[in-house]
Amino acid sequence: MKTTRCLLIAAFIVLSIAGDTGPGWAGHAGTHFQPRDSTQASLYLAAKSVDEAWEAFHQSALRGTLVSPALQMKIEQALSESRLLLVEARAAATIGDDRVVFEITERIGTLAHQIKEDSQRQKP
Amino acid sequence: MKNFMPSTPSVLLSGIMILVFLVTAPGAEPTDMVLIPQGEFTMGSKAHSDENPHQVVLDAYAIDTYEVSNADYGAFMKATRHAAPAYWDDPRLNKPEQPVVGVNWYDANAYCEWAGKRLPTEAEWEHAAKGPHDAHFPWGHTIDPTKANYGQHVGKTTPVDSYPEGVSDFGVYNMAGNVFEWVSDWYSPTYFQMSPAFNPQGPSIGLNYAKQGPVKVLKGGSWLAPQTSLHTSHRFWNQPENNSYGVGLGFRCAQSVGNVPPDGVRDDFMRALVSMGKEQWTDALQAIDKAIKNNPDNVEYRQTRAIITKQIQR
Repeated sequence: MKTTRCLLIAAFIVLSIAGDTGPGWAGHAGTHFQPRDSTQASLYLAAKSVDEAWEAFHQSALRGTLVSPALQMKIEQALSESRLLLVEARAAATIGDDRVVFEITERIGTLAHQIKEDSQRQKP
Repeated sequence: MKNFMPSTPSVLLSGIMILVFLVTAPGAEPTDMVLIPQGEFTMGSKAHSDENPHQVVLDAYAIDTYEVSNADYGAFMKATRHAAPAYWDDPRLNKPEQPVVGVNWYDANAYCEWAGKRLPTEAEWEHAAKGPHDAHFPWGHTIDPTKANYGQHVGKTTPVDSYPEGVSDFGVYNMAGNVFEWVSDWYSPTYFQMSPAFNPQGPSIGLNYAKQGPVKVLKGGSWLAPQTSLHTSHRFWNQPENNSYGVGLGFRCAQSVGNVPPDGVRDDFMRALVSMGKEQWTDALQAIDKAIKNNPDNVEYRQTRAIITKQIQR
């Protein structure tokens, strides 16, 4: 357990240093394969970004600051989609399909970024 | 039309028009309500695009002075075996004097029906919050953090009779902050551009956004809401079956008061209210007796006379 956590932290640092290629997101996309540890880090970061996106949305819903019901529904659908994608990414990781993991987690990152932006938009 | 009681000195209006009367609900203790006289007001504001300002005329109605409390809702649950709402066991939110939270629209509607009342329309709610001077916040036109529970300054709901300095000019408590409140209307962002002028009830059908179901209007901001959600015209929404954002979501009830004669015919009644406001009970009794003489079947007049008599006997 302790070893796994150390590996995740190390992978997180490596990915953070590698620089951003997506919205608030470590560089893991494209055709370059990453080491196995970075697959776990991608999953970790994807889950974290979904949590953060949900929190941003939830806070706006509680405060009554969302722009419109239509945008709210769009956000809720994006949240649902990102959670489903996370399940798919984890399934891909269990069978060692790192390429699929990276593709899916990148989509999750984009969705999560959009959810956060939409949640913080101001009512006109 | 703006001055809904032109014959009454305006300086006395705000405090005196308010008649708190007792309504005995089936199975419930008498509940405090405020009578809002027939009148016109400007609904909406320029704060947000879905709040297009427009003139509205409402018949007289009564609205709960306070948000429905946990104690009130507990009595309802006991009498009807209605399920407990979300957060019922949350020690931050479940004191008897705190407003009930975690209720969906159907819960709120069921409670009001049980109490012999109904949910207010959005227009009724907003008028009760704005008072006779169309205030941006219940107490006036500028934000004041000492007059409402909002923005997580307190970190939980406060008792339903808290912030007496922040009551609306009609005497209604916590119309800004504490909990968002369900009203009866469906929400549409464009409704204020086409709303009827007399007793608007909201769109007849709720719009089905992204096929996830129509939404009802929420008013008033909450203990979690920022200043931008706090003004009297602010409109938010939630699906009627949804209480998942309900940690700051409650309600209050309203009641129609039947056929209220137009201004002029009610002069004696209004004179009684003015005298009550000045605690001149003998004058109030004379005025209400005149009103009853002209309209012996008016229940509202008789209830008012009972209150006056009780005061004289003290």
